[in-house]
Amino acid sequence: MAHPSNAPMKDSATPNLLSTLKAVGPAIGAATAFEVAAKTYFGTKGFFGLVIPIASAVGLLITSAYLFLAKVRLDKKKSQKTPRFSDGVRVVGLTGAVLFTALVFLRVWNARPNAIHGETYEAGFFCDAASGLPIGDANVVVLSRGGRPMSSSQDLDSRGFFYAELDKWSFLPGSIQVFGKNCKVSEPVDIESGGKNLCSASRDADNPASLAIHQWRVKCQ
Amino acid sequence: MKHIPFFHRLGAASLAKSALVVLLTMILCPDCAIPQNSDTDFVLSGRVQTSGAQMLDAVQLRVEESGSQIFQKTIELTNDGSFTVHLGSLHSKQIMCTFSAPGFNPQRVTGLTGGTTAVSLGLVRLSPFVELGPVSVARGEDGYAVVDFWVTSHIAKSLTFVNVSITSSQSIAGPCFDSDPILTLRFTMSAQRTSQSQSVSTVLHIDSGGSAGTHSQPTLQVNGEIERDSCGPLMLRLAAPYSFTLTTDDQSTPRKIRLEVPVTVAVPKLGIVHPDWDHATVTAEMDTLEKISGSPK
Repeated sequence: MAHPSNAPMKDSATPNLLSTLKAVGPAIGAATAFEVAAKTYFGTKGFFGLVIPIASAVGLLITSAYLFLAKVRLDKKKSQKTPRFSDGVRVVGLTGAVLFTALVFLRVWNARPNAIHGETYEAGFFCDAASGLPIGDANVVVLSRGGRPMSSSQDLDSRGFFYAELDKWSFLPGSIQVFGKNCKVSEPVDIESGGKNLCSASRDADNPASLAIHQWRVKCQ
Repeated sequence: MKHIPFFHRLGAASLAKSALVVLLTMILCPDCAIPQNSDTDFVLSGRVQTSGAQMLDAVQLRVEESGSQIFQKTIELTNDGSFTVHLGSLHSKQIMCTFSAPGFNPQRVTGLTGGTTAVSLGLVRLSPFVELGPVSVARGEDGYAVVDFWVTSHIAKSLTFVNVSITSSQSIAGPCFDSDPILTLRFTMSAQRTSQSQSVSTVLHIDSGGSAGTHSQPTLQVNGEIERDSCGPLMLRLAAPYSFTLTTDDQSTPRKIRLEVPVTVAVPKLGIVHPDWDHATVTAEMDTLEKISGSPK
């Protein structure tokens, strides 16, 4: 008599579900729990913030692929193998595999080097959140999504403006660290948090329209 | 004859390699395909506006590229404050322009090329940290002209002035000379700080006769210079070594300084000189060597 988990299950839904859960449940739980636990421990930013989601998605992809591809040998003397799980479960596995493949590609794409369809520069205005006036006497460094510096330190001009050329072999740009003498900003500023018409000094500027210029309001401490 | 496929004849493999190299180059280094033209002349333009009453007709402009100075010049501004200068060739995409003028806080503005040869800075606002003016002239007693001017601090820190000078031409052109007369004259000055209740903070009395007049302060030596470029009017400049400080309490509060200057000055070889104090230029020099000037309107 074959072991229940190794036998093809096409008879009833309940045994199918139970055996499927027995086979892949721990893997699914481990993959999702790993992402939650790892993000809690390492945080959602920096290098681990990029690698953990990829690892989690890869784990779920492998599990889905296993659901679809796993086969068992009915008779040890015969070479013919049959799918381990029922057709319904295999369809779920195939669908999951497709979706998780897309998710893995998406997360890998987000973690690509800046040289591949990245940004050659970052430019914008920094101003005080309270007044909208430029934060004077400060310099900035662009950090990659991995949390590492990917530009040289750039002084803000009198308008609170900077232009920084980016390292192509870093991760994509993620945040900007501001070092102000009079305006202390403890946390790096998320690049995506920028907007338009936030800083008054930007209205005086006449930068080329071809350049993407952001504006960030920061709270000085 | 052996048949050779069309693509093989063209060298499909080498073409594919070339295409791959170009593709990778475009992906990895988008700017490498755009050579920098070292002969291109970049033009810098913009408009300068002051936030105070003091108008500027020229500013000092310094341009740095990659930390190296590539341009420094006093540029003339048009009536609306616009300017255009030629920088020559640039090798990077950004430049740092610093605008400065006496009495104004310097402004550092980033200029970006953006793939063209025109760099536009937009509107550059210069805010004064100290203003001199307005200047007014009145006829005083005993052959002295009274020149009043105001000094106003706009910053919350002390400003120290170390010298006050007044320059004017003689109203009537004198005779021509074979050699241009450049004479140094000696005057005496007495300074009197008036009480807070009066509108005038300080009276500087410059006496050509050497006496200290009726003022109680000890006399100071004042250098007077007479010069002339050609047969034109004689220029008289009196430089008084008078020191005063605008404190943080003086911020945004105009302080009035009064100069009492002789209407006529007896100059050896030239006779009596009549400086036209109604069109004089008053200059105050700070301890930072920065000078601010004003003239009667």
